[in-house]
Amino acid sequence: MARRHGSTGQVAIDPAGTTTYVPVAALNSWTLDSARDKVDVTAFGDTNKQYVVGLPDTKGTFSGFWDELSTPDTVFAVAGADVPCGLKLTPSTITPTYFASGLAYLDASIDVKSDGAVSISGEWVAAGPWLWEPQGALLGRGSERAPGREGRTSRADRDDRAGLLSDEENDQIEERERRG
Amino acid sequence: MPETAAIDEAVIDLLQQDLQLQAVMPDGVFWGAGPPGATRLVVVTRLGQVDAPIFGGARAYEDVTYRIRAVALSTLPHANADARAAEARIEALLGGGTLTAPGYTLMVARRLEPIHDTEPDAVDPAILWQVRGGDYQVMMSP
Repeated sequence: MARRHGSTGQVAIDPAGTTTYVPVAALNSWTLDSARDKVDVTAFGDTNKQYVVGLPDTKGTFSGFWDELSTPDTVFAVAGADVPCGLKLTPSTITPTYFASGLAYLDASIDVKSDGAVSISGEWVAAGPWLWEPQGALLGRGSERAPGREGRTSRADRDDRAGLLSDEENDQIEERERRG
Repeated sequence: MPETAAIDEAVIDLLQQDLQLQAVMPDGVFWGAGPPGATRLVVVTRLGQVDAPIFGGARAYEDVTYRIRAVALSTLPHANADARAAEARIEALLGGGTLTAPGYTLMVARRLEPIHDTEPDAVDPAILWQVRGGDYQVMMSP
């Protein structure tokens, strides 16, 4: 286990959508957002809000500087294509076997100011399953049901697990729930 | 990867080799401080520098700020006029100029702020110096 500095990060793209990735020049940041949809399922009597989660999102951003020798072809042409590209995001090239990759659609923009360097930025969204290597873990292994919500999910169940109710009280509550 | 000193030297060389600047500041162009006895000179210092990193540990560009001061002893004939002429010449050379440094590509060279002061001498406050010039931003891509 080791911590890494982002200076050795990398964004690589295959415009054809396969895995012949080529590093994109003059970039200095990328992000990958795996936030999952969360649905509030808090019920009467709950002592705190509760949620179930959906699939994780798979999208992100990238940014860097304009390089006239590479940026038009490696970023803007890819962003303007109708087919998804292959995108490989490496946190550190010191450990090049650890990366996230998959198909993606890109957006790109350029920012030109009179008092600064010409910079570019963009957003990407997944266009297929994404994997974290080397584990091969799917980013999108989501579930519509949260663990522990299968079967009984009543207040009686939770209180019972917490050891707050006697057997007699549990029986009474479950009988009421069966009756609706 | 080229060294930032190449940019410093490029600025100094550009100013030193200009005959019009030599005419009004005949004691020369110096880095940091001038020699004893100099009465009409240009002094260049580096106020700051920012490196813009990109992936791979390289620098996308270097953003260097120089303070360039044309200094003339106020008791000399035409001290103020010479300092003013030097300021104009520095701006002509560096402002939007054609600075070249080995290993770098110029992104911009421009004045951020002009300088116009009358400063007392550090040793004898009765002696005054006319100071003109400016703070210049030089951005270069390795």
